[in-house]
Amino acid sequence: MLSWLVWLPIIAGAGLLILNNRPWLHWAALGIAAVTFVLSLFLLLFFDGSSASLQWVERVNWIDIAGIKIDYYLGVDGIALPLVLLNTFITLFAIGSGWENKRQPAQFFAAFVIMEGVVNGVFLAQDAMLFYIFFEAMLIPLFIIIGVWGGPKRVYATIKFFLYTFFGSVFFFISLIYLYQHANGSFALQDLYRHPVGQDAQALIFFALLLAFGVKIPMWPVHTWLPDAHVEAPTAGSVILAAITLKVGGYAIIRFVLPLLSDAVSMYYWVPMVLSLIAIVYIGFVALVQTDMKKLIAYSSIAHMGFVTLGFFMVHWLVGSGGDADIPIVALQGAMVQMVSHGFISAAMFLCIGVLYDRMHTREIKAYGGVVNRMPWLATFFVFFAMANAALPGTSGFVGEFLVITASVAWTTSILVALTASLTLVIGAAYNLWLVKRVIWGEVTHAEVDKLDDLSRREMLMLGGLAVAVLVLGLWPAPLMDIMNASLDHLIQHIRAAVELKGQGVQ
Amino acid sequence: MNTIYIIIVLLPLIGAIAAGFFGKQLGRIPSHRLTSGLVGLSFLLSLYVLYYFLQFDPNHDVNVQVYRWATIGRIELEVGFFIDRLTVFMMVIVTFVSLMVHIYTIGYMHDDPGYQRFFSYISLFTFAMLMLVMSNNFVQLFFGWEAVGLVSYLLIGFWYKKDTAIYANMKAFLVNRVGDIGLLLGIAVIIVNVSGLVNLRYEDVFERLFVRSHSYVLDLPVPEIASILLLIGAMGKSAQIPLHVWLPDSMEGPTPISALIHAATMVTAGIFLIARMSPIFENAEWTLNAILVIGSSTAFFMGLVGMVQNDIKRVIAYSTLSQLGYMMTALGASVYSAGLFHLMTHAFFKALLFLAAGSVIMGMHHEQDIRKMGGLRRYMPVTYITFLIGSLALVGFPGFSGFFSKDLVIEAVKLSDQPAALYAYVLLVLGVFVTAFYTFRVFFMVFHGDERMDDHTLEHLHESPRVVLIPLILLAIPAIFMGLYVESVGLGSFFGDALIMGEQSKLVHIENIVRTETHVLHRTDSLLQEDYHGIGNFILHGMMSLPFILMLAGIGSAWYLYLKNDNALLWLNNKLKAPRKILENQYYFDKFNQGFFAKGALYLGNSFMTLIERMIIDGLLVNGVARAVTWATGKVRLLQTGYLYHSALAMIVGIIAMVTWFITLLW
Repeated sequence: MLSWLVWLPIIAGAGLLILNNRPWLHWAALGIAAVTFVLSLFLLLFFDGSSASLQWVERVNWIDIAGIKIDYYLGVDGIALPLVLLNTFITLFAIGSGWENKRQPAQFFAAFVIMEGVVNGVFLAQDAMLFYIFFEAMLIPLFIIIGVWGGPKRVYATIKFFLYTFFGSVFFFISLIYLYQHANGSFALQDLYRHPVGQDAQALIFFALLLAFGVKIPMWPVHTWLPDAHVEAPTAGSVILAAITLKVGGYAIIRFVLPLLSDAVSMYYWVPMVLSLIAIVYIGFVALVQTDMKKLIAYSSIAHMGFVTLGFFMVHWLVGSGGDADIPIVALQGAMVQMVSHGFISAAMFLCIGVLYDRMHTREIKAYGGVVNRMPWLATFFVFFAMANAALPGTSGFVGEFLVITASVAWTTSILVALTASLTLVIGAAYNLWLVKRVIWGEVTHAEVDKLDDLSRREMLMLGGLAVAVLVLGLWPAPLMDIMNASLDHLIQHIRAAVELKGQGVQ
Repeated sequence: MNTIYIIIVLLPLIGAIAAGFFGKQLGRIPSHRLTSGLVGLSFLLSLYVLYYFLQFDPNHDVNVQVYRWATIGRIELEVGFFIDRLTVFMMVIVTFVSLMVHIYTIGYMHDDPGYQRFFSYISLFTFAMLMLVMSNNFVQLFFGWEAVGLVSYLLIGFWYKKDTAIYANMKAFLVNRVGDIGLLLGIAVIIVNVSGLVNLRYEDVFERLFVRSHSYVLDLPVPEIASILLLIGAMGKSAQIPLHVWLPDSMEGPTPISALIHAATMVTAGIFLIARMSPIFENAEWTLNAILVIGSSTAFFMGLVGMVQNDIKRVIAYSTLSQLGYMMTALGASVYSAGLFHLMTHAFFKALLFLAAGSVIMGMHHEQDIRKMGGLRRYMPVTYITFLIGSLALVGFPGFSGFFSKDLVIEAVKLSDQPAALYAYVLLVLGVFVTAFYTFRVFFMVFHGDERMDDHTLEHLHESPRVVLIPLILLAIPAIFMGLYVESVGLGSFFGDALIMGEQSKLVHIENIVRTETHVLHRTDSLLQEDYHGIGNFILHGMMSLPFILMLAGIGSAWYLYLKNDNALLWLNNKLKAPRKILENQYYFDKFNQGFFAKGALYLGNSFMTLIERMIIDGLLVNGVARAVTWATGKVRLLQTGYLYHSALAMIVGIIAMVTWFITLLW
């Protein structure tokens, strides 16, 4: 079952390449993505949310040469499942947004479908080396998407992106080798969890992984590749980049850093937390002054992912502080919901901008104004998603930020953490609403805006679909949280055991 | 019975969705019929609920769970309704004023191209406001709180082509968000400090709040810190100094919403919040004193600004600020019922004043400057009478509803033994003069004196259509008579245990369970009850008190300056140039916010962008590392040829070095 989720899109995507330029190509791509989505829905349907253990496990010896043993080991739990669903869901929209792409359509659609399979592989891999392979392989379609169908400065953006991620990956790889040795020659995650490494090594690996995954999320200050990559990427690429790729970084932290490096996290949690707070506030101010719509949303993505890392990295402290036992899971739930929600909202924002870009061929905020006069439907969606981006309750954007802020209030040492994080209420609203004010409201001041046509049926369907997702998750997050509860609780038990084993609280 | 509550909430939402998404297909008349009809039904059902509740003892309450919102660990969050006397009270006010505004809008927005959209918004607002007041837990309260803010944003910017409107709506949302930080953190403090909490229902929270005497946060008493944060939230929505700046600008929206949202209902959400949370506030002495200071300052100083405004809607807006200050002060004096009583009378007479002002504006062809009006009483008799009724209620003329509620507030503050009560009392009493002055200044300038409008306007001047006048008349009735409920509503017997008052309160039960410390109860309300000897006595007493004289003096001065003696006005204006300038600039709040916060934020953003993002991170770190390595390898010349590829090369060299270092450290 899980193999299907990984390999069906990859193989079928490769098949698309052969089909080269058939007129029904995009239908084929959509069909593949739809089938994969339905498969993931089956996963959801038969998933046992009350259990924290891996389900639908597939494990075979894959490589066993010269003492190096790598398993083809897939499994799904409550942490991976929501992200798999997000991936299969969002891919539908990415394909939809590239529907009218006429330039090398076979390669274009193939890249997205293959990407979907590889990302499923990342989320489902239970063997660290298999994870690493998918983790790196994921970049190839992404580079191609930006490098081939991107904007004028696409080469610069691609190489910058590559350098950043490559930099982190190397350290990730070495760390894995070390962990493998330590776990008596196994890459299986559960074996790694069982053999915590020494404190000094943990510290080194902690910073290595923080760099590797921090680039992906991205955390401040290794984030500057993201705005460039977004600006150059085609709309569909931006959708995938924001909604899916960033989540891989967050997922890697909850899979590797939190359970594996309890000692190091207990000691150095403040480093990523400070970086997260910088991302939330500082990046918010930077977003405020952007003149390019896509850059603005890219920066807002960084700020929102700040809540993910903030939620993750406070867990060890919350567990160790001996406070209310119910609070750590609030932080984790918040961070996870924030990831899924950001997937919906950022995808929708980039789609909205894509709709405008397709018509006007500019992303400069200055070139717009009074769009509501010509495109009332787009304006409706734009305002709605901007509000969701500003974490309005009732939309999914609220749930994660609310939970993370709530957990951060339990931080006894200083209320500054909570206070700083909650500044996003104002800053986030400021950059979103100011964007809306300049683009959507007002009189039509440019002749080009006057000629705009409102949404086509395809665009309507896409934005409507995401709006429903944002609303459902905002009004009824219970199903999502129920899926994750057992697994997150299990993780917290694991962390608690590790922290208690250490025999001391946090300084 | 339980389904009725759900239906009451959902009816306006259905109307909003229908008129919003299918407005074009429905057409104008069916749209307004549908939305108004559904809100009307909601109002009738609310009345029925009131009738139903009146049959029980005042402490009867109902908890309805609609669905489970989320479960996190052991904490369960739900969407549900908590209905007690306080809720019913708010439901009736909200749906009644909303219905009046729906009907009024049919006439007021008659020619507007966004007709259906407007009805959709005001119905959506009604839904959001009901969610707010009917919520049984903190998270849903926040949902309603923000949702009314959203609709307020949409409605202030309803005429989205108007530059001032789309500036005002952004400002309103952002300033409200500042307050929301307080509310959100307040809720968060409550969640993390109420140990063993299984859900966030009010009752559970109130019962467990005192289990832990000191907060996780800052080691202050839990009620103290939670209440001060909640107060910041209330200050945002109820526009108290210094978060009041958005309300005058919100007048850019169409007049019906100024009546509904920015006078009668949404801005009173802060008052409702504090009343609802009275068990928390009653245990927070500092916060209560802060409320007294903030409320009375808003009441007096915002009233002063109202004295020099020339836009009819802005005068009423400043009056709203001032009256919200009165309500707030009553809460600070621990007489929640008086604050709520004033909330109710104010909802009726202020909605009336706004709608009457809207009628004037329609008659005047959208002229809002009172200097260009005058003598309108001859042309708009119904508007004139209803405006007069609203004005008399606002200034607290004996017999009118505002008289009872305002006098009760002032009496409450007088009896309060809080340290800040004296300050508050002086400002509130002086505020009576101010209120009377600005109210009748507008009244005389609009309806009496010379006709100062141009000939064209004068020719077309006529009374508004019936659909506009009916709501005025229907609102005028409660604006006169609602004062009769001073004993039950004003003195609190109506609310039962919903408000923490007197000695038979829930607080005592809580003490029985916990007994961590003895809570000093504020006896202000019982003192007030002891002083009360029937309604006739109340009126007589009121007519012999200082506020009554000040009110007459206020009306008299307005009459003298604006009708009788122009020269005195000129003389006074000349004498008081400096204070006048301060008032005309609204104490320079706007200039400060614009210069400090708005400009400051942009300045920060720009400096971050150029200095840190471009220069340090991209320039120094990303490209600079490359540059340094390239330089070190002696290839300076190649640098100018586009250093990206060299960066790549240099990075690889750098990475190899770092990796080697990393490996040696690890093994």
